[in-house]
Amino acid sequence: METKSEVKSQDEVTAPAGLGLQISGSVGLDQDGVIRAMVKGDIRSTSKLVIAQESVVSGLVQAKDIRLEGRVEGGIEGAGKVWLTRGSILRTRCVAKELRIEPGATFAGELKVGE
Amino acid sequence: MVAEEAQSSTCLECGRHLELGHRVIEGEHLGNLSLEGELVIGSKGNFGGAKARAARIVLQGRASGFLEAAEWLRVEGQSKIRSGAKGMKLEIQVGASLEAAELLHFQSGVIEGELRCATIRFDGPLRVGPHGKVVAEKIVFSELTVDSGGRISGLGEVRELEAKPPTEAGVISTLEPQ
Repeated sequence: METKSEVKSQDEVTAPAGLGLQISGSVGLDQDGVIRAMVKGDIRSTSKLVIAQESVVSGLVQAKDIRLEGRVEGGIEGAGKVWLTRGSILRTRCVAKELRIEPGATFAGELKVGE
Repeated sequence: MVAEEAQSSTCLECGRHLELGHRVIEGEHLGNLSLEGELVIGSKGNFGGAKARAARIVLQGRASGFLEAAEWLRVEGQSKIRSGAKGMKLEIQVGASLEAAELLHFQSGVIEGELRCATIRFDGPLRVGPHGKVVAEKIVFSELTVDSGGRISGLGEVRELEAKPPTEAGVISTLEPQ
């Protein structure tokens, strides 16, 4: 059974210090957010989203603007800007209106920007 | 005094004939070329030899043969390359277009016009400007910047450049959580 987590009032989905947070299911945000967790599912946001370093998302990440510092397996779809920083890993696909992939990032998959 | 376009020399290493000046192709040119200077393939020109090498190549027309530019290859017209190209830098100006059937392999690229090809590989950075468009089956790069308004589609792959220092940040501003 899929579990959907909605974060409306918090800015971050994070774990208390020293613990790792794991989420099984989809995550939805309607504010700017930072994900510091292992997510076995999709993440959907209507605003800006940062996937922090050492975070892993197994599914698809959709948001307005996305900064990837961690790892996403299922692809990224940004309605605005997408930025893959050095050390980040993205698989499957990258869709954006604007894109920056820094040297040292890892990406392989379908690329569609501005279309 | 020998005119510049008539000056030539012989490569001490391979013995190949080198032209020291520049060359402009306005019609059909058969035969290979090896220039120290600039090669201009005019809008009605077609390079039909097997290979053309030059320090700089301005492409306004077509090339059936392979093009190699030690410094840059600049596309200024509605151009086609049948046999591929390689060099240090590929530039496609605003309003210009390049259609390539074979592999294009450059150190870096700035695409302000349109590029259509099968496979394109950049060992360094690729930038697609606001009026730029890249359509390819496969696009390989070590870093990529697509400005707002620019378009790119195909299968992308990052290949890390060995021992390359990090570049400055691109046009997209850092996303800071509020």
